[in-house]
Amino acid sequence: MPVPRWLRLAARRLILIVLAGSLARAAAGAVAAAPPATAGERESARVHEMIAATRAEVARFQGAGAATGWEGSAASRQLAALWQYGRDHHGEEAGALATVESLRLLARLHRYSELTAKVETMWPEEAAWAPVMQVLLEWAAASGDFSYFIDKAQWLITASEDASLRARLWFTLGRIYREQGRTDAADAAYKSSAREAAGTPLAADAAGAIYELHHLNPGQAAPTFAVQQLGGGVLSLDKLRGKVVVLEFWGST
Amino acid sequence: MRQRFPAQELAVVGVAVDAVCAKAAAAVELHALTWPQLCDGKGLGGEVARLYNADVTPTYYVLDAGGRIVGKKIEAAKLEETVAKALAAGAGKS
Repeated sequence: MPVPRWLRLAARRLILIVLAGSLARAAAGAVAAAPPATAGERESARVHEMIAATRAEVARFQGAGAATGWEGSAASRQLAALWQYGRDHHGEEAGALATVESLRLLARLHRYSELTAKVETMWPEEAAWAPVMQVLLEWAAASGDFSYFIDKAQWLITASEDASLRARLWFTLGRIYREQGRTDAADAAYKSSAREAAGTPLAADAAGAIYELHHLNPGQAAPTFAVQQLGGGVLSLDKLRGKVVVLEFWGST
Repeated sequence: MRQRFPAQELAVVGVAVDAVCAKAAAAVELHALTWPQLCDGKGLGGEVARLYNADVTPTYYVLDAGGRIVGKKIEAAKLEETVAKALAAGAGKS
């Protein structure tokens, strides 16, 4: 049965009106709200809001002289929610942000046993490990006690499949051992770092650190050189024997 | 510091870790630095920087009169004290 002409026209008109309306709404939406396009962007916006809220709540708690008690405080509830978000999204960038920020806030609050208890529950493949180890390192440096950092780094080196993370952990362990006067352990750690980082700039840094470990200690002969001076002439370190020498490495930029 | 210690007892050597030595030279002129300056245009990969594993700027080493390292990668704030100690140790021996 043929469709009457008036009906065809009406239908076409209706389609045009609907189309125009949706285009107008799309344009208005683009100008006004610009909702995050991808799921990742939406999660990122959400986690940044949670982080800001948690920071504000923790600052309020500290501002009140931490007088009210941590358990049951709004700050502790907010922080627990942020940490839980990190658990629920631990494979994603937004989740890693939440994880790191909750731990950083716990460190700021000096709640170390709570911090380490949370770190103990983390999976070896989480994206958050590099910045989490940074939080642990800062805490170790502030307290002078590196034992937890060392334990955790050694565990992660055996558990993680991320070669670049393992290389960086070995390098940091090398520096800690060196500062503790454990030359052999430092040497081994730097060598492992160089091996794991083969072909990257970190491998060159590790090689430099190994050389420094064995040749640049107080009491050792300073490496000599004879090199071109700015403005002409050669400067030889040997010629400065008999004087105390300050070597200043500087950059104009 | 250059003014505090006599030139016959203390030598200061600047190692400019610039990729462009003309920039280092301009900075030397601008700040009217009077002590010797080295530059090979290779930045932190240069010969002297590598010999001393200098990986950041500033990096300071203090060597005693016998050419031994007495201060390694020390803070700028500890420089005068380390130099004074090295000079006193040298004077004690002679």
